[in-house]
Amino acid sequence: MKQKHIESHLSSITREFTNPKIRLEQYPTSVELTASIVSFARDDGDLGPGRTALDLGCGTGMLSFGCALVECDAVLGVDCDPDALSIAQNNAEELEIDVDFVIGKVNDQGFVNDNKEIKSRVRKKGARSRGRPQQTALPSLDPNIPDGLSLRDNCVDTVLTNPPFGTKHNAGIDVRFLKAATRLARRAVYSFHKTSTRDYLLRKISEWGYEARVVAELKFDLPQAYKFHTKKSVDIQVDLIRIQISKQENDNAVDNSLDEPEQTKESIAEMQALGKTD
Amino acid sequence: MRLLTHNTLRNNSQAAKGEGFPLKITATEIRVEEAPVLAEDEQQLSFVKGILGMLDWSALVVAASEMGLDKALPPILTEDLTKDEDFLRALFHVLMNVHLVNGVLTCPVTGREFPVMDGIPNMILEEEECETIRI
Repeated sequence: MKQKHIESHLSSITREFTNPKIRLEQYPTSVELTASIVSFARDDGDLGPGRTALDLGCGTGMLSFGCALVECDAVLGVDCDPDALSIAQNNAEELEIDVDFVIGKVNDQGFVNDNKEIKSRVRKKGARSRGRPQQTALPSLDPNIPDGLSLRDNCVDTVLTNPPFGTKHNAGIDVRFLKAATRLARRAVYSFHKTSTRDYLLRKISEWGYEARVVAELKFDLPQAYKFHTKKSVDIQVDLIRIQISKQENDNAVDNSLDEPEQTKESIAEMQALGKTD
Repeated sequence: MRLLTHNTLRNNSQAAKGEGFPLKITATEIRVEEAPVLAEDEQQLSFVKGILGMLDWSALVVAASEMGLDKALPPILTEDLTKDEDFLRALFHVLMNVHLVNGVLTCPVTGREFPVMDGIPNMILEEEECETIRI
């Protein structure tokens, strides 16, 4: 299915959350961005006939439907919010697409640098007198703690995720999502992350034993996150990262690039020009 | 929730100690869709052949029977069967077209229950259940 057709199908459904839960950073992935990513992933052989996919943090289902529209054989959508999944299910019926949804949550507990550590460091006179700045780092989620998802390892070919980026209450949640995605995938992971965290992430991914590359640089227009923010939305530089999970680049290669060999360059260019939300 | 999905679900809580599968199915409402469409036959056969190696076969056999498909699947997957197209078509149907709409999934080790409502299993673990051991 051509990218434009994918877009028109996706445009017909309810992608907005009814009462978005700010704590969960709920906003839909845009129609154009979804169509771009799934077309690009299909051309890379990561999606399409012969492939299974999982959308981690699927919300109202955009990426899941994108995977189904490029004809993945089976698609699974996982999210922690039953309200969002209810919208996703209605959308699936509208599109006459068969996707299974599961209520699951990436564990958002288990911090490195917990508060006790910070307080005790601050009390030490030595820290100040040696000219070291006061410890102000936020407690951040430890990526080495199990993700809490009730799924077995390597259960699908490709995982796509548009994770929450994290606030002061769950800093590092996006890394947890990413780690979980690498556990669940057999072949590849596509994920979005703030460009400001790129070096840290690429290093982490390498420590986990995988190769990754930044596939596109995007600007996301995120809705107001906190009440005290005066702007209605904020622009953030975002990377789309692809992680290679399977060891051999071409194992189980499926030729899905029949229609549009030029699609890949176009898709990247289009993705670069897009925002995250409509 | 189709049987293909059920085959991937686990109770990954600390208490289950890595043994939390297969989840026992207690079905109160099931929906079966029509048999495979002829036009998509080749793609479906290709898909089934591709995932055969990935399935937990004994878990699938038990699950199918818990969904009311008594003796639908042979207890052992033989080499011959993997080349039998009629068998593969039947397998596609069992994996993809039989849905648990309402019911409960139960962990074989801890007895922990995961409800399934409107086709969606609720697999969220509470904070206390999550593993805190670094991996």
